[in-house]
Amino acid sequence: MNLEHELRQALKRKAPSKGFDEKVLGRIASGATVPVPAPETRWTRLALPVAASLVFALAGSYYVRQHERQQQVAQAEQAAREVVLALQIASEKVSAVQVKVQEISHHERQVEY
Amino acid sequence: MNARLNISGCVLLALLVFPAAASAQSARIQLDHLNRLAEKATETVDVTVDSAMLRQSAGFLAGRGNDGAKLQELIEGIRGIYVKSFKFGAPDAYADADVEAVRKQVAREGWSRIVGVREKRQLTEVYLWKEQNENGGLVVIAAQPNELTIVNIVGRVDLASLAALGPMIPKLGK
Repeated sequence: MNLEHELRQALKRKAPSKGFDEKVLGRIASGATVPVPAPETRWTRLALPVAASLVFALAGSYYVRQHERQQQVAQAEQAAREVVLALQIASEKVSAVQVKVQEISHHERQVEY
Repeated sequence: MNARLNISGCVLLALLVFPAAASAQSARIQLDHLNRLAEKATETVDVTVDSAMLRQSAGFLAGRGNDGAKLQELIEGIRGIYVKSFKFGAPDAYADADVEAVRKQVAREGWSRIVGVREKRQLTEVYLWKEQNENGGLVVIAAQPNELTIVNIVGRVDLASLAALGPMIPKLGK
């Protein structure tokens, strides 16, 4: 019952505000126009997919570049590890030879005296 | 006959145009005959570092502080590092001929032995390759009953710096 009453109130015919007719006639007389949205062209329809593709392509190339950079860093790290290992072994052997030579020369000096 | 002459001419031209490359090759020794020892060894280290890898690692080592800088300085003149090291569970796993094959290569002109220590069943030798009166390569032979290590460095090596590297390397290896 209440709902019916509310609906009636809402849909009740209302008279336009005072001076409405004049306003409308005045506008028509002044030639004022309201911009009408331009109809969708082929390009406007393509803009979104093209933009999305560009974003995907940029993101993809960024990812590939990052991946390549990471690989380069990993390769450099591996190379450095190999260099360090090789030099470690070389250094150990040269040091061992130095110690042996020092021992021998020390022993020879002792024998001389 | 003509073809042979042409080939010889090309080789001669290459040697004249690229003398550094030719001498760099001379400081490199063949160690492939030792590969079969890996089957018998309990521990094998086989490192081949060429100039491209050295260049790659230089940038990485540059950011590793003072020790990295010293190591970078040392490897600046180096064009290649080749190491073969084998540890065996039992003695006499390798033949004398394996070592002799290496020694034969460093007996060539250009190489000079700077240290040679022969003890009971142990041999340690260091050979230097001279390149225009400068040190242009190194070979270390360390042979023990249970272990055989050959190090071949191609390029300019400062022996004192190399020997002094030892204490700083564990820090760099981390």
